[in-house]
Amino acid sequence: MLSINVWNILFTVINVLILFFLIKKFLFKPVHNILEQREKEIADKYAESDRIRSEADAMKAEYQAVMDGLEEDRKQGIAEARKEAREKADRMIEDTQKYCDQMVEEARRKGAAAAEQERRKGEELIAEMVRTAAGKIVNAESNEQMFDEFLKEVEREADKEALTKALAGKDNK
Amino acid sequence: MERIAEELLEKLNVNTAFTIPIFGGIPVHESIVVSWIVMAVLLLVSLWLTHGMTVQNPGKRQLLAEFVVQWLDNFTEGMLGEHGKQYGQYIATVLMFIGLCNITGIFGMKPPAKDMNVTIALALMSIILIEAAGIRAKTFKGWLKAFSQPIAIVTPINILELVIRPLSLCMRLFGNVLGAYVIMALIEFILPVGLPIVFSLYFDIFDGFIQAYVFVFLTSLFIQEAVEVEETEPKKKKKKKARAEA
Repeated sequence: MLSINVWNILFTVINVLILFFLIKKFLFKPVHNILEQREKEIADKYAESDRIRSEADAMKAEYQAVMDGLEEDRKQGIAEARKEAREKADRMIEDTQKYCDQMVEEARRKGAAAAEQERRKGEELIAEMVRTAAGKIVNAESNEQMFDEFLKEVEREADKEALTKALAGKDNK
Repeated sequence: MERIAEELLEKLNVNTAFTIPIFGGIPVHESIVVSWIVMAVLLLVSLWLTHGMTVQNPGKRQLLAEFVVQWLDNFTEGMLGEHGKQYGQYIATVLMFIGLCNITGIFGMKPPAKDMNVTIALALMSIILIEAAGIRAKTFKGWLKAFSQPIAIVTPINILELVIRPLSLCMRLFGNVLGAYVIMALIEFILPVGLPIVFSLYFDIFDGFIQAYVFVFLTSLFIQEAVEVEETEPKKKKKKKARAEA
């Protein structure tokens, strides 16, 4: 019980040292390795997620800038299109107005020319009638006969004129 | 009564398991053989725990291994301090070794710490480690100087501590385990059925682990004291307090 044996002290020392190296090699080292690897993996994942997040932020900013640009372009495009459309409409209205004015002017001019022609025709007709009447007056037997002749003549001329107008209307259609 | 004494003495006697037939025969005590069993158990448990470990999705066994290792790391680091944590694995090994050795009594084996040669070896290793740690941390000159600190008059006491520390470590462990063993043997002698189970809980398991803890705690404390260059004064107080507790 109390006997001291150097060999057995030495054996115990060797035993404990062997046990120490075995435990170190087969328990502490593998577990520490795993824990370190896990820590490293976690740190890597954190770094990776940070990197991805910063990339995503950058992409988001880029996308936002593009979207802002598009919005600006859209607004500008709409404004330009509106301006253009307004100008075009104004131009068209102006052209139409000019054309209408021209047409009205032309119509007036034509109307005036036609009226002039009719007036001249009438004058000629009256002159002719007066001439014919004068001739007839000279040859007439009485005033009454002359007056009847004049009326008949006027009637004939009026019929002729109506026929001419009717024919002219048909041509226009 | 004489029969009890004889049987007890027989139980207390450290038998030689076998003799190595060189140098005129080297006796190998049974405590060494029990130590080998303890070592084998610890090795097998370690291999079983760390077998097939993975970084991701660890199994229950691996979680247990990680828990045990982390607990041991924290436990030893807490005792050794920041500067002495490099010796944590040795302290953990000794803790497991003594702890398991002390509960071998449950399985009908004689606890190795009942053999003083084992406790002498453990205490010698402790004091060598303590002083080596001191030399590593303070250099040889600093280590020598530390003997005369905090004041020169304590130098003889500090030198005596080189012997007192391992002696107290060795005797405390030996005495406690022997005492527990004797009490258990007596209880078994008086009433072999039932009663020993209750007492075994205290004397084999609780006291066994307490002694293992005290041994590594004191060793750690001495190492911590040896490696700490500054603040020697508070450490002394701490050491005295720990001694008083022990």
